[in-house]
Amino acid sequence: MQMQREQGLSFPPHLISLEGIRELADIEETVDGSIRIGALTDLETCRNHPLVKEKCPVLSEAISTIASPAVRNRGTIGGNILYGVGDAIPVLLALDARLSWFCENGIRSEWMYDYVSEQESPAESAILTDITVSSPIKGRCFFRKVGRREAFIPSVVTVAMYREMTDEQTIKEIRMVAGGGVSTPRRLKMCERELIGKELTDDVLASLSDSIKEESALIGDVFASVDYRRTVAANLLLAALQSDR
Amino acid sequence: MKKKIRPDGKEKVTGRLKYLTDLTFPEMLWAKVLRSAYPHARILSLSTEKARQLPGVQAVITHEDVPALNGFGIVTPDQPVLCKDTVRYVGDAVAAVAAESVEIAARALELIEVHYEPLPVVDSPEKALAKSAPLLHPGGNILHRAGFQRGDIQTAFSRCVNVVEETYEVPRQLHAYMETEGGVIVPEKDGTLTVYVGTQHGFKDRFQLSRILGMPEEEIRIISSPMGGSFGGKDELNIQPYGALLALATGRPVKIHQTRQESMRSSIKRHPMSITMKTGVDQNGRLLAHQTTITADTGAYATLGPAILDFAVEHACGPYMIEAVDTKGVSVFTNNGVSGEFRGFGGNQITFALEGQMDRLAAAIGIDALELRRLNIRREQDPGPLGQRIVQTNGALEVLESAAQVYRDKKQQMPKASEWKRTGIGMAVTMHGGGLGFGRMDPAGGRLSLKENGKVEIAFGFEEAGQGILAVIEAVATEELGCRKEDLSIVIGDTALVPSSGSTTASRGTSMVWHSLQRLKGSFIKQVLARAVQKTGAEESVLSIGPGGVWKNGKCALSFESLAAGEEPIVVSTQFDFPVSPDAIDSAHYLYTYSGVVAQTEVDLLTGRIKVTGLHQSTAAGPVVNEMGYRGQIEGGGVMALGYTLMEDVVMTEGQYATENFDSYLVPGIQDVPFDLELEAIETLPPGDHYGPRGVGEIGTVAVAPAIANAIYDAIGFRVSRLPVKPEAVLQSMERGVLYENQS
Ligand SMILES: Cc1cc2nc3c(=O)[nH]c(=O)nc-3n(C[C@H](O)[C@H](O)[C@H](O)COP(=O)(O)OP(=O)(O)OC[C@H]3O[C@@H](n4cnc5c(N)ncnc54)[C@H](O)[C@@H]3O)c2cc1C
Repeated sequence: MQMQREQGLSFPPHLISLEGIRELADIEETVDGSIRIGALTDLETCRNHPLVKEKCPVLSEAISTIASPAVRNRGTIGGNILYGVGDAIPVLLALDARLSWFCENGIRSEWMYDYVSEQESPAESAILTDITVSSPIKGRCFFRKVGRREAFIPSVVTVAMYREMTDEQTIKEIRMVAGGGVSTPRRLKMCERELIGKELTDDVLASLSDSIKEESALIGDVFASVDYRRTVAANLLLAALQSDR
Repeated sequence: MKKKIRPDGKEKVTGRLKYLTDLTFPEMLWAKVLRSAYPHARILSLSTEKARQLPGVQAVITHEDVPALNGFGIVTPDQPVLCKDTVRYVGDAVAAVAAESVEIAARALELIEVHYEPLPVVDSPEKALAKSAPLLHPGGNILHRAGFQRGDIQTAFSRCVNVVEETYEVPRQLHAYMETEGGVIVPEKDGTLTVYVGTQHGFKDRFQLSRILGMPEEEIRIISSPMGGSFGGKDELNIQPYGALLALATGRPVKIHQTRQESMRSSIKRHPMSITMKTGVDQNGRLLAHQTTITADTGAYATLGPAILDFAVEHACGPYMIEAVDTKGVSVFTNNGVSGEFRGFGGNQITFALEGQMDRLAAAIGIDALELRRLNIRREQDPGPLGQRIVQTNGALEVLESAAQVYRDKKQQMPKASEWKRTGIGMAVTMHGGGLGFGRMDPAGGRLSLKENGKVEIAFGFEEAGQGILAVIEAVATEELGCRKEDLSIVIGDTALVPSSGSTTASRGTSMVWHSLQRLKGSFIKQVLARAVQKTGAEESVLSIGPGGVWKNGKCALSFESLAAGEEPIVVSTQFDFPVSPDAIDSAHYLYTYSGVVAQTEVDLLTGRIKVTGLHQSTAAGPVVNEMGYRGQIEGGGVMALGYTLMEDVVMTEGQYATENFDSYLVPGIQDVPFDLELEAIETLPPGDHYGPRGVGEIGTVAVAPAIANAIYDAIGFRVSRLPVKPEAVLQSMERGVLYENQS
């Protein structure tokens, strides 16, 4: 929200600090082995947490690309998700994370995908309590953020992918995400559907490039056009798929 | 010995140093300046009534409150202090407020009612030069034309076997100094004014302020150091007039400290230029003809626009000897901010074009770019770029050979390209004039004293903006006099205490400190020793100045304290002009420095992003005065130029800033800086050279962009003609499907 204030965008007249709820600033392993991340965990803690590093290194990698150490020490993972375009979102979408909310009538849980698609909390007064990533992660993960300089930079394009292959080298499960700038990160559902059950032949990849460009709803600005952003998203995802072959 | 810690170093890195914007005074007010809402408009009405009534507001000023000249500008005072009827850019000041707090001042700005009639916005030089363009100034839209001709360009082109023509576009760069414009202006009890505001030239500010306030110069004192960076950006007046007017109006100290956004809006920037070059060679690779047209976007007001264009024109053929030269430049008023002085002073723009031409020509005729440079580069005894006599050194060839060696070594150890990355290496050379040039008042001077308290005081009118002049003064003074740094008291940055030394610009500081000491030391040492003779009775021939005082037989015989006790101070002053060419060619330089740059890049084929992986600069600028300072200037300059090449651009659309802060205007971070950052200082000067060390404040920024551009070409075959290099342009340049070719 600091960014909003600096840019002179509308800012709420009152703020309530959630910082005191220490119970929501923790990371733990659930009974089924998943990782549960409290929404108020600061990004730096999240990035360095042994559980995250061991079981979900791609999340740690993604968080490393957010802002600078000073900002990561203050900013929370929950805030990053709810701010709508945070760089942790693509990876969490690719990992098919779940969100839990504390609402008037108790705790509610939903797929992060559903939340991101609808872009609204279950209720106005709901507090995000935690994010759960199933573990162990069976497939391969990929993440890349591209900005206008190497570090401490808003993203131009952020992509993430999760994919699992069958023994026959066809795609068993895949989730591809593209975001960047002011664009909400989105799953590329059509591309995913096209790929399921396919082998990664040259033909498949060649036609995929255009599909990704078409489906990634990225927004351009004076620094980077829509075309550029889409091309980069396609290039990065394709290159990641190729490296699997 | 030369690797000394700078005198202001510890305080700076520990954060203990107080900058002028950190000062507070009892009863101090805060001021803010209302800037224009439009890039070009007529002011229909202006009412400050409501703002004045806001509790806590002590004064609101408009053009009506400027007692004398309502204008400023180092050369031509064409920029209104407070606009009366017309605004020409969004940084134009319309009113200013002093209040009990910065919040009240900000609120008061919102209460000032200005009605504008928007006028058509001239947001490019093309529009400004169009016949139907609205005239931005009474004299029209052309600030300045400059040119240089030698030989018969048409015949020379007709003899060329190969001609390359290209148009180069370079961006508007922000100085991005750490400390934005600001300070405190204090009205003193005796009616004088003390201005604690960073600047590069205190005496010039005093002159400009006296002209605005209608106050004698002697009644204005400028205290201007230390400041948190400038790079040319604070040479022109910025917030001083508003602080001064408000301090006089309220009788209270007034503080102004611009926010980054306010600074972005009102500060000067590097001139964007469009440069078309057409260059031809004969079958042996000799440059025969070189034609250049430069169009500079100078923005709304003059400041140093004319001199910068002159500099670019002078350096259009750089260090090369070319038979026929035809250079034409025009600097054009627009409603795009204000362009002005910036480290490199027009040299960076023109060198990017020229060194781009050299690589293109070499490729066109199929010879090595290095060889082409070697064939055409100036030798010792060749005249300067405008045909003038210059101080001769072999710097051009020396930096070329040094860079050539580095180039060969690095090329052999080039990291292998990976699947999605390509690596490349490129080079560029340049020469860069120091001082203001022929025909411009360029006085310098200094003062050396033995004070009553036994301190050897050395005083200059230079300013410390972080560039390290204090370290230079300390190093030169201790070396030339033989005393210790503890014996010295360095005084700068206060017009009440220092002699005039001219501006702290144009890489002249180091050189002028050295020259001053050459002039001061003889008489000073003589007087000190004479007094020592008096006091000790020893022969003068056995005495010398050493650490702590006067030495005899390898021992300190008399401390500076005892020498000074009870005596009148010894004071030696000097006034002289920066050396200029004996040939009366307007703006021509006399002292030059040289640089050869080798850059290595890595191009990401998937994203089009460029990473500079190595930057090596060979610099020939005479002896190194302070190794750390020299390295700091060359490396820091290199990084600043890296930003210029890859990301820095103050984007304006229809006269409004699209980049308003550091979230969108990007300067390199440490991750963008190559780990492999090196330099070689070539210190040799011909026998008998008596010009000593040349300044290196600018040279490290000048030839970096073309070296990187040439390295990009080496990596992927893309010719860069526009800065900053956009990843988008890189991607577009690579054919569709490059992804698949790469697999094999
Ligand atoms: C200089 C700077 C650089 C930045 N760079 C990046 C970057 O590179 N990448 C990136 O992704 N982001 C970046 N950010 C944005 C942001 O700071 C981070 O994304 C951070 O994670 C936000 O977390 P926060 O706790 O500060 O959230 P806040 O800003 O405090 O909150 C964001 C929104 O979420 C709501 N909210 C927060 N927590 C909860 C909760 N538990 N329940 C319900 N609602 C909640 C708030 O009400 C608010 O609407 C940057 C910010 C700054 C200032």
